[in-house]
Amino acid sequence: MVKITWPEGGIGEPTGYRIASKYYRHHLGMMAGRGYIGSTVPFATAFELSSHFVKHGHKFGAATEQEYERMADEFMARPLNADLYECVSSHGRRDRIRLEGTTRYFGVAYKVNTISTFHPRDAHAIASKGGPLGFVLFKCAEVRN
Amino acid sequence: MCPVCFYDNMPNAPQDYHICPCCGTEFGNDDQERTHEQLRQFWISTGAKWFFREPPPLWNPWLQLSLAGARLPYSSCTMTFTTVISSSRSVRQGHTSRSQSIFPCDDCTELAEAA
Repeated sequence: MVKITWPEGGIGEPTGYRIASKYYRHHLGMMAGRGYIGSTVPFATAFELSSHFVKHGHKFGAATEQEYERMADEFMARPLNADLYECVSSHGRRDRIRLEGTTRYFGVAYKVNTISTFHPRDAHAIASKGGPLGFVLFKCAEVRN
Repeated sequence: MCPVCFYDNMPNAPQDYHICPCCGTEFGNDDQERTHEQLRQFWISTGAKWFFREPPPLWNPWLQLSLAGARLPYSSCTMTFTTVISSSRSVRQGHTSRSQSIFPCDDCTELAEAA
C-alpha cells in the first residue's frame, strides 16, 4: 500500500480519494477565508498556460487560453464524487492529482492553487495501472527526477 | 536541455509537466509510456517542426540534432558556404578531393559533386 504524507506531516493510508478531498476542502476553505485564493486557479506563468493551451486546448474544444484555464480551474476545484479520483503526492512539490474516470480528464496542481497541467489521458495508460484509482495512486507515488 | 529534441533554451526543467517549446514534449505525460528516443524519432518523422509560436531566428532542427549527436534518419553533412564554393570549383576542375565540413561524413564529396 502506498503511503501519502500530507503537507502537515501526517501520514495516511490512501483508502480512496476522499481522504485528500476532505483535507483539501478544509485547507482551501481556510485559505480562501484568509484571502489567499481568488476565483481562479491559474497556471504558474503565461508561458505555461499558453503552451498547455496549444497542446491540449483543442481536446476540450477551448477556443481561447482563458477558456482553457477556466475549464482547468473548474476541474481542479470541482467537488469530488464517486467518479473523480484525487490524491496528493508524497514527493517533491506534493502535487494534487485528479482523474475523472469517465472522461479521463487529468489535472495536476501544486502549492494548492497553481495548475501544472490539464488534459485527457489515454485509456491505455489508465488501464495499465489498474483503472482510475490505480492510476492516480501510481502518479502520486511516482518519484520524478 | 530537452532530452528529446536537444533544444538548449527551455524555460523550465524537463519535468513536472513542463512543455518543451521546440518539440512539444510534456514531461511526466508524454514520456510516461514512451522513451525519449521514441519521442525523438516520432518528432523527426513528423518533420521536426517547431511547436510553440515562432522558432528563434535561424533555428534549424537538423543542426540542433546533429550538434547533440542524435541519429538522423538519413546521412547528412553541413558545409560552410566557402567549403561549398571550393568544393564546386574542385568538381568543376575535375578534382574529387574530400571536402571539409562541420560534420565530416563519407557522403560529403558525393554531395559536393552532385551540387
